[in-house]
Amino acid sequence: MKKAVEINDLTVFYRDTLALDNVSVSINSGKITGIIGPNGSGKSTLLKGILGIIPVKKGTVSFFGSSLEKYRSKIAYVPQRESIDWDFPITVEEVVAMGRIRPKKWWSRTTMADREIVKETLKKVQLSEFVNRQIGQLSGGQQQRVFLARALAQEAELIVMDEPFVGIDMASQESILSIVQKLRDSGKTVVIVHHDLSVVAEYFDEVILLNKKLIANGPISEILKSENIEKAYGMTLLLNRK
Amino acid sequence: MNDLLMILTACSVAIPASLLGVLLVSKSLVMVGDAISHAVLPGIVVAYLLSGTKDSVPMLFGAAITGFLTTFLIDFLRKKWRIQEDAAIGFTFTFLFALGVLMIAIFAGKNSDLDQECVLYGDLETSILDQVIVGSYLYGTRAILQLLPLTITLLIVIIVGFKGWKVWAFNPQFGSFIGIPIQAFQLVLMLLLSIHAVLSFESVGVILVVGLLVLPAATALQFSGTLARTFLYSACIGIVSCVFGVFLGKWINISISPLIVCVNGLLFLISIFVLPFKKSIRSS
Repeated sequence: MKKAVEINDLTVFYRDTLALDNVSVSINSGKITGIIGPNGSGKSTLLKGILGIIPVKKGTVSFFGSSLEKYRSKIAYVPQRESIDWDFPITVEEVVAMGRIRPKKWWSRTTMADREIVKETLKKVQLSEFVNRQIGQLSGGQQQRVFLARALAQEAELIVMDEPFVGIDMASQESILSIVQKLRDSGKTVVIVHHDLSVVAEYFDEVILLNKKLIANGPISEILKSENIEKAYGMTLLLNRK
Repeated sequence: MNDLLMILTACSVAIPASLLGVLLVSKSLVMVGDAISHAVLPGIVVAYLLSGTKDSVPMLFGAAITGFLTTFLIDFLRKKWRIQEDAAIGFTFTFLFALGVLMIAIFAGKNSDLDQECVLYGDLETSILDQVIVGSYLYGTRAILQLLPLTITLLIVIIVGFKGWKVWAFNPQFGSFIGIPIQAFQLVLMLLLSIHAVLSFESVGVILVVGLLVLPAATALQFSGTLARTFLYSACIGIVSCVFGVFLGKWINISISPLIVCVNGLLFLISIFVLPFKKSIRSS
């Protein structure tokens, strides 16, 4: 199987505290991979470390065999909802249109083709009727879909989502999962950071269990069976499952 | 004629201020704007002492340098010494500002036209006496002619870089991830702010200019919905407040620049009270 991301010995410190300890793991292409761990387990750190958003102490990361710099334009990052200023004066359409910005020519005007892509992606995430809404006037799930739409508009090969299911309604969750599955079926690689192995995790093809160190990784069916969950969480998580 | 000149002079300060303010307020950089407009003072004084004139070229250099120094110092305190941001800003600008006030008191106190009163509060009424007349034709006040190029530059910077400003203010992490030079935007903004602070201190002073930076933008943000409209509304509010301020000042015979800021404050309060009403209309 082709590796989308290969991570070797990734170690990250926040000031003097160790946040991620020698993590070596790879993410297969064309799959939905969940990065799962309790609060403070370094899952967002792993994501940001991989994407070069925060500095890493040591370790290397490659994307389909090439460096981040070479592969950057094919990666879309969907930020955590809480990291966004929802009062900012910007409409749904404007956020999605950001996905069409060409970094080398960021000042150039949005072309007709770009507008068409934005329109299409908004249709895909079922937000067509909200194009001109200010983003603060949407529900949590709709807000999450705006950023997913931006990632779609980027036409990336690798889509990375940071806690997309926090504080959103069931309908939005389903809609996001179905879009994500369509992406996978069309050959894209999706990485989702999520905090537990509850129901949504069953939609993932593979998971990486993390608690500062790599606890386990592999197909979801195997991970759910193994005792690794206890190592990462203790018993609570099993009890949370139906 | 004098009224018109007064309004135009006030607007020449208020329009670029209200545009710069949109960038500051939407990115929660109000404190930094406050800091820059105060911290340029020692730069102004040093430039004045070295050149001996209130000519704008050396002053602009002085201001640009202190503007950058402020930004650098705040960043340095925050990142290297891990001082929380508001404390770093508070330290930097009050220190530099106090330094500037002291320098005026020591070096520029006597027989010069750079005094504390002028720097702190400005004086719109006297600044319009500084007229540029060529032949027998009045071209405007010095303030207008100095601030006009800044306003035009600012407009070009905002319009050409609009997408970039939007990303910078809204989601800089995204911007730097896809490879837009996000850091440069902050530097450009600080440079323009420093220049604005220097060119406007004689008319409105370094304290009240903060009101002109922040208030129109804050009011506009209450009901704009998009960044483009925020710029437009903010500039309009700036102009309206100048017109009101000048006429009110004439009418009750009181200093004009604080009145303009007060009008802005009132408009902001009104916008807050009107907003819940507007929101309920929009979401229904």
